[in-house]
Amino acid sequence: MSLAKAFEVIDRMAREGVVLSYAIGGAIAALVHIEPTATEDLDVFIEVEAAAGASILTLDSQVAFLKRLGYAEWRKEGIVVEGWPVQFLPVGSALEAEAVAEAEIVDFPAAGPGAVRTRFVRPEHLLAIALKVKRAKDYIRIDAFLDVDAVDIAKLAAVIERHGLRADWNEFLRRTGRPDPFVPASRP
Amino acid sequence: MSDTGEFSVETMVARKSAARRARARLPLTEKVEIVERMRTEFAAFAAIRAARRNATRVVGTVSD
Repeated sequence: MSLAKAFEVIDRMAREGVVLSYAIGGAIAALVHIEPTATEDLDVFIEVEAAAGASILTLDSQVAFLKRLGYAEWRKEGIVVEGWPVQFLPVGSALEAEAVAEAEIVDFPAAGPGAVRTRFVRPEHLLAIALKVKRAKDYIRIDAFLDVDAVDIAKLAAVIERHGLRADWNEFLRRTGRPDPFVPASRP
Repeated sequence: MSDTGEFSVETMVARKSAARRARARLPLTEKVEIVERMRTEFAAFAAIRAARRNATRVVGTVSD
């Protein structure tokens, strides 16, 4: 049981067409850029094809695929894959669709020979999604990225403008007391 | 006598920030190992929380 094995299973879902595309988000994607933080689960944004004539999007085929591989246990709203509850989040907004489309491809070292090809949500999309979710831990994560300069400020500004998140960004600045890094004069 | 400047809030914050940057620069495989280790070690606390949630309080016994 390991994250690397869970990454391998998720990437296999894309290779075998069970999902059109995917990108790992949340704390695990943040791990690529900032210090490790404790997390219990794995969030995966997925692009899926709706069944013909279906008015409701279901994850039946993805769940069935995982069950065939022996992953049938549910824990914390996630299917347990290699010990990690995986929450599959079908993209529900233009921001999430862009995050999946522009995901960063990382070859994660596997236990054996070779590497596991993995797709991670990029920092600017991670922060934009966190801005929309607005939990205390989302704000802490944004703060952590800004603290270690782990996000391209110009790219973040573009994502925020493109997806109409300026008010959410201002709310984050107000609640954390941070100076606005988009304003050159306030950069340290 | 120690230099109290070494323990000023500013110095401590700067040190913490430098340590945070250093941890952010660790190789991804090492960071994943840390997360997996934290998850294993924190599982005991999760079990304690779950046990507390599920605990039933004994309010008394009936005897003849």
